[in-house]
Amino acid sequence: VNEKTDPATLSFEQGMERLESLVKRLEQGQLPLEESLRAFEEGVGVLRVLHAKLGEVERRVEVLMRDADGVLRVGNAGDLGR
Amino acid sequence: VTAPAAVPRPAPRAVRVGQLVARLRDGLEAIFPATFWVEGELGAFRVVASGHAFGSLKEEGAQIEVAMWRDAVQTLRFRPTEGMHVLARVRRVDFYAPQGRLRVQIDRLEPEGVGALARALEALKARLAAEGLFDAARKRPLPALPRVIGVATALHGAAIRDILQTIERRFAERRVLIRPCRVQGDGAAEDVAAAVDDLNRHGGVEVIIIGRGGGSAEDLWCFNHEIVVRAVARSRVPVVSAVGHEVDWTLSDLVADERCATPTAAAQRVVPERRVLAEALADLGERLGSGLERRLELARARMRTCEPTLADPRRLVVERRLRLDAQARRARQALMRLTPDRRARIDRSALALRRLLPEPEALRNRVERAGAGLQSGGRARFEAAHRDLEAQAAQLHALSPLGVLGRGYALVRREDGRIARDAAELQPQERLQVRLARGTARVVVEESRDEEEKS
Repeated sequence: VNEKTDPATLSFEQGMERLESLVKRLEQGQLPLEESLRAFEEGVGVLRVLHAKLGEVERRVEVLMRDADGVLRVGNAGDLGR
Repeated sequence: VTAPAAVPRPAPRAVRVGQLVARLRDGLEAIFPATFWVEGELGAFRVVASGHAFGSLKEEGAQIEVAMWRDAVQTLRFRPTEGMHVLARVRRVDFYAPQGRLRVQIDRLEPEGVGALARALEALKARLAAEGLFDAARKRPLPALPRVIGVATALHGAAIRDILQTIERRFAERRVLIRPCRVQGDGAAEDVAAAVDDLNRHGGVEVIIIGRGGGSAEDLWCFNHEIVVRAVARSRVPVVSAVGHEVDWTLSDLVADERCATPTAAAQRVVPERRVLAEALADLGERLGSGLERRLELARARMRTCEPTLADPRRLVVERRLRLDAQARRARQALMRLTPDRRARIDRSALALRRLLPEPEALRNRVERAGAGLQSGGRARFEAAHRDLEAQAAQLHALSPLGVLGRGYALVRREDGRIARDAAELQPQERLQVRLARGTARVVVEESRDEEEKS
């Protein structure tokens, strides 16, 4: 419970793992009241970050190519891009 | 003339046939301890009813019997015919004792051209394996939810179409970065390797799919090339290989962090279904809320059991007094049973003792005063704790995006700050404070009904 980290720095899978462990601890009902409240609060924070990650909207299809000078450039994928 | 007398000669030292055969077999095993390839022309080659095959390998002036067991026969991808130039992999050179014949057990058979390639591939595979490039310990986990997916394949092939369609279906809001490359023919291996390197250089790519949509063994050959294997091995980003062949594993498949049979399968493996993730999150959020709710309910229940004692601490005094009275009664009865002599002694002691103790009336007054103080103090602390708990719970619910308030429920408080739970408690004209998901409102009770409204 004490190793609380900033949920924004977690990857999606780390966040899911953290949230699952918080829920499990809360559901077991063994935590003192104050720690239950802390676990809930942290869980809400993690949940919010995970929702944000799930909601990231970036629907793009692009092509990575080298131009005449051999420099990498990202270009449009034409009709592949839907 | 007399026949020469038979001269007794020492009997020659002889081994038995079985011993000879056993020694022969030991010798053969010592000469040929490992598998090796033999090249030659196929003589008669016949698959018998049991599924095993028997035949011979020969060249000008030399011939040897071969046997191939059923398991190996089933892997044959061509029909061996007499006179064909072949490469055979020898598993064992064996002396077949029941018939006294030397026989070579083979487990692979290839037409010569393919056989040479196969040998080269096997040698490369062994060398790269010895370097540890295919070790399970090198495999990295794929990200659960990649934002940018790199793809190294032909720009106009079935593979890229399948990958894009699959991603579109599962989680369309992703970014796909294609590094087009040739996947067969001259220069294909160099191009695939450069594509993997380029996708790494770009920086944002979180997982890479390399592959093509199936083809013959020759079509897939560039994925067996050492430079492709090394590019995958040095990739900082996890690589999924999808060369589109169910049976044959290319070296790219072996070195990749994960191998899928088709580009569609690779896209499924890389991109999760949005719906599934959203459901999992909703479920966890739900359980988080109900977990806390249950824990709070437990705390409330425990407080309720303490309430009667806190409400009137004088109960404790009454209980003690009753117990004291009982003890005094027992003591008096015991006193009556004593001999007069001992009773007199105890009476004297009691008299002395009484002088030392304070007046019972003064004691009683002290207890009364203490009890009254305890009552008001305990009640106040209980109520404060209860208010704290409710306030914290309400605040946390307000914090939560899944909070009860957010679903359209409201929190109703009476003027003393307590939460209203029972309409029967409410008086007409009583002022209430209603807390909504956003903001509060002050309202007045018009009428309250005991039961749920039926509509």
